Amino acid sequence: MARFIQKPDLSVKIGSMTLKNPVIAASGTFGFGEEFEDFFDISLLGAIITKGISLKPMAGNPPPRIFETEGGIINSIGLQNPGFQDFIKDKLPYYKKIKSHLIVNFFGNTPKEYIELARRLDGILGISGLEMNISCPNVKKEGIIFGTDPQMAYHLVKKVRKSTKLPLIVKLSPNVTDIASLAKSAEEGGADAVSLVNTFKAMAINIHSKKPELGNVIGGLSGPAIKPIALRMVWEVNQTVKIPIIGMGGIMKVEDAIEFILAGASAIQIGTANLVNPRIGLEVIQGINKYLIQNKIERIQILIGALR
Amino acid sequence: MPVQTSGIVVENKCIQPHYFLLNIHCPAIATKIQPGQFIMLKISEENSPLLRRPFSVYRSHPNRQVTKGNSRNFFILYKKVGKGTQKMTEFKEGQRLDMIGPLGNGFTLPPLPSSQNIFLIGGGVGIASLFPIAERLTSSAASSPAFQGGIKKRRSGSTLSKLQPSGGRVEGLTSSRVQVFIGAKTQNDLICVEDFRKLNLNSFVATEDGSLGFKGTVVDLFLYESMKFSRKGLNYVYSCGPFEMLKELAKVLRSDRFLCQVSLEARMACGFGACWGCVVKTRDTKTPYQRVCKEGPVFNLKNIIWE
Repeated sequence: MARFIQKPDLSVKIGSMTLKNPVIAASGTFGFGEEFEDFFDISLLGAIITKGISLKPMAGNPPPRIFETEGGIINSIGLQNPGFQDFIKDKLPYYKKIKSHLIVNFFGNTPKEYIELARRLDGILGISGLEMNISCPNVKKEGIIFGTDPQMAYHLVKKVRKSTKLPLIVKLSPNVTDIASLAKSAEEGGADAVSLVNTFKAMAINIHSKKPELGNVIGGLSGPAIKPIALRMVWEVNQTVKIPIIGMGGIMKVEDAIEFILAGASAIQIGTANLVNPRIGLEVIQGINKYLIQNKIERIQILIGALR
Repeated sequence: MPVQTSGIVVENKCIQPHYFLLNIHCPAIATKIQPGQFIMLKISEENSPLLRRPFSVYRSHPNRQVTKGNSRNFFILYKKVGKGTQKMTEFKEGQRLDMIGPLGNGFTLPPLPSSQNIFLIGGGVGIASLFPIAERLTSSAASSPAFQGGIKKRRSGSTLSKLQPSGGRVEGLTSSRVQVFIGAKTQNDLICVEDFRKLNLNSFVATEDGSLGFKGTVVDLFLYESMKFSRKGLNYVYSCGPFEMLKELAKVLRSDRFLCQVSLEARMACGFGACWGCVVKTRDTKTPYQRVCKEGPVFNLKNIIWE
């Protein structure tokens, strides 16, 4: 006899972190958290990921940085951020007031910088975990190479792993031939989880001025346009690795989130949708809860990878 | 503090070819929004267009005793240019719109009492966002043709001090010190001219093709006309328009006697500071790229690097 589920268990595990629900605000689309406090209680989210942090401040790319396409946005923000020191001094105090897991997204221009940052972020009160960006298409330096070469990714993850005791998530680029092999490298390097996908390298041209629409020429495509591809990649990675997968790519509504969970994601990230509807994170949490009740599912864990 | 809320379309009408006036009932925003601030409007419930679109307020009635309906409404003046604004022309009376506002930092009015020259310089549809300044600077505002049946004539004799409780004593800022410069490509793109005239402000008009008024840009016109006015003391300039126009303005307003605030337009994704997509290059040494939506949209003209 089917039991009436009143309060389904939405909690999921990512490494040693237990998230109260699987909904995470994606890096770069959630500012430094405080931009959203006017719209809802962000403590309700499973976790919040910071804008990408580098060792030194970064000015970012010249504008225009945003271009809207059919069902998507190409952005070339260029990882503008205040750098490690000012992040700790100016941004972390706000996050400490939030009753949700804080995951710091970080990147380096060299392996040395990755290791140095991971080491310095380790043990700082208020930080629950790290998301290592080896995949941003917006920096022309070596960053992208780490994210597209399985061997280099393996060695880099391994070194970073040794530099921190915090749960380590590796964020993967979709701009590769075989994303599953990259995920495997991250797993073998010691990652606690992989998150995918970052944006797809893209561009747009203004035919009147005959110039690129973005100051940086190339940017990263996100939004509903990429969802089917991202979903396929999550499914493929789920066939390959045992560590948890955090799925993302064009999630605009609860149905999208559930698709990713069925494909094998233990948690999901909401990115572009935050920019359109700042309350979307909360709406997706409520939607997942409702879905579980309606389908008489006690625990969300049952749903993870439950694709038939 | 911005809110995400819904407003109801009261009226959406074409005021001249390609230009539309949208009257929205939304007390949460209308009672708070200041000149130069903007809203982010969701144009479609679907994902096309995906992003909200920013619109500065053309007319609203904040800081006012709310009696009947009108002060709970605000107005957007928009030009039909692309897919998004095309869809906006299809908004129907009674339709519910999802919006976020008020957003950004608006214009700062001159310290009062003021004996300074005040110049409002607008290009294209940008002039609409300067109109609320004119309303604040003048003691009374008659209803404009654009608002037939929309807004009751305001009580006359209300002074700036009533609008700005913290503004101090006002020795009657006379409208003769406020000069308005309106520029457009052609006569057909000139908007708001009558609105400013109804406020008894000196208005000067420029069209690039010479179809009405001065032939040339509004910046050329400003240069030409401003010679006539007293150059003593400070001059307050408020401007909004295309990037190229503001860039030209920056070239002619190098003197320290001009305090110029410009409202910038930029492609925006979120509008509330989260994505850093709408930045402009400034002279700030620590953070050169500042957000038009958050640190702006109103900036000190001299802080912008026009490139």
